Amino acid sequence: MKKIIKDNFDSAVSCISTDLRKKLLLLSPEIKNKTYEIRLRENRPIILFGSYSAAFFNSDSSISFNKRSDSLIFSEEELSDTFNRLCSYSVHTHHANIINGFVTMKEGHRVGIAGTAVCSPEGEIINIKNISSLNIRIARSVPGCCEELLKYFLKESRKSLLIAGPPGSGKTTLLRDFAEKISSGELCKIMKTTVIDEREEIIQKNDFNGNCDVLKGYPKEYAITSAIKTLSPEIIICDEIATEKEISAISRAVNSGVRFIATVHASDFDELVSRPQIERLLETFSFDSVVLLENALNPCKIKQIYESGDVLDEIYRRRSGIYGADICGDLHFNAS
Amino acid sequence: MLLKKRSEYLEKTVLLIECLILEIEYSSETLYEIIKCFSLRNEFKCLDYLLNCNSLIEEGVEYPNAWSDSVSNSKFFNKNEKEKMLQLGRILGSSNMQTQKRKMKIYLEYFNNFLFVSKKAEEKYASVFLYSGTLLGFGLFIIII
Repeated sequence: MKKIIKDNFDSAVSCISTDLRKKLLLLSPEIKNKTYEIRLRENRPIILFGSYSAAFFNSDSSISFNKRSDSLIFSEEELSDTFNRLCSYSVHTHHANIINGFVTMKEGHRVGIAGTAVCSPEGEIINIKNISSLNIRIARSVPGCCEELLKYFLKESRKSLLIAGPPGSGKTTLLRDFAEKISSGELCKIMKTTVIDEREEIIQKNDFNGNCDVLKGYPKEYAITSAIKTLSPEIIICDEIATEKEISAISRAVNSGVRFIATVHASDFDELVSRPQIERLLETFSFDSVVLLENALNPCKIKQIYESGDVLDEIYRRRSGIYGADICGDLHFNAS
Repeated sequence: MLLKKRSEYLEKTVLLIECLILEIEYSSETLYEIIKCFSLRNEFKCLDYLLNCNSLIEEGVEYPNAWSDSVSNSKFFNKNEKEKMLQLGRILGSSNMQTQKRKMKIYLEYFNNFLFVSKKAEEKYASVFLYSGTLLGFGLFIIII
């Protein structure tokens, strides 16, 4: 698998207030490439997460694994300035995402937001006030990371793929590469591809060479229905399936002959077989393969590919109290 | 002449606020995009602060500074109008669409009021000049006779 991780660190820190941004930009290219998260909490030290584990950011633009006297503290003013820059001084543009706890930068980096929720009398969140921390997740582009999986998908005539993995394991990065390769006909015949990018983090204008229809910001269930009615896709790519409505929409789409490549959160096989949504999703028989990815230290690396029937069997087996059943014999593909 | 220009300036400012409300509600675009788009429109070409603000943003100045600098240097606003315009600038983009809309409508009222006062002043001074001119002409006529 080709692993050319483009340096997106500089664009991810562009929203941070000026003085701090200048210091972050002085980090070595090696650290920049290895960093996948920047945690900014009000009046707390700045922490970077990467394949080197967690590290404090110091005033001399270095990182250290232990807190030093010169480890930089993220001030209240810097937080306010960063949030305003992040929203391009236009909270109205991002408000729907802010109440869901994130803002996506135009380069595709997702910034998680923590603060105090303001709720309506009906219990709906109508605003987030007193924002206290920002978590910048650096979007990565790994050209060619889907090639192996794409070959498997095409060679075995798979109907649909469900990609599972822990946060940072490269699910979205894989989807981005799939969208590019499938829609541009680079490694296979061109397929009519629709990408449903609810959080606007799969496709970035500047860094995407695919030729597909992109539905940005739509709720997934609506986007799936709309795509089938109007765009006649052969394949739909979408991120993070979680709700019943989304599962129902996928089930309806698969019955209309559309193939899917979608992702779900699951840290490991145990979580994969214990999450009710995944069980419900597999019970629709929309997906015939489940791909489990490694972790944030090995982004986009396939840990195992399972037949969805085997995963369902394991779910039923565990429910009926038969634990520890070895399904390794049923594994279809082992990336290692 | 100057009073007429001031009234036109305020008229366009009222129109700008109305358009800002509609644009934020309809397209939910960022302020950068909206300011850029409006500064290219013919009807707003006379609003020096809007054009300056767009130029400053294009030069890389952050929106709050760009807005306050350009409004502070505007030619036709008086002190009170500048203050209100600066306050409006702080409201723009600071909250969700409904809240912004409600707040902006208050400022729309302020500027409608400024426009009303300006037009009244324009009418008043126009009639003063008209009467003075007539009297002067009449006086000259008597002297000549």
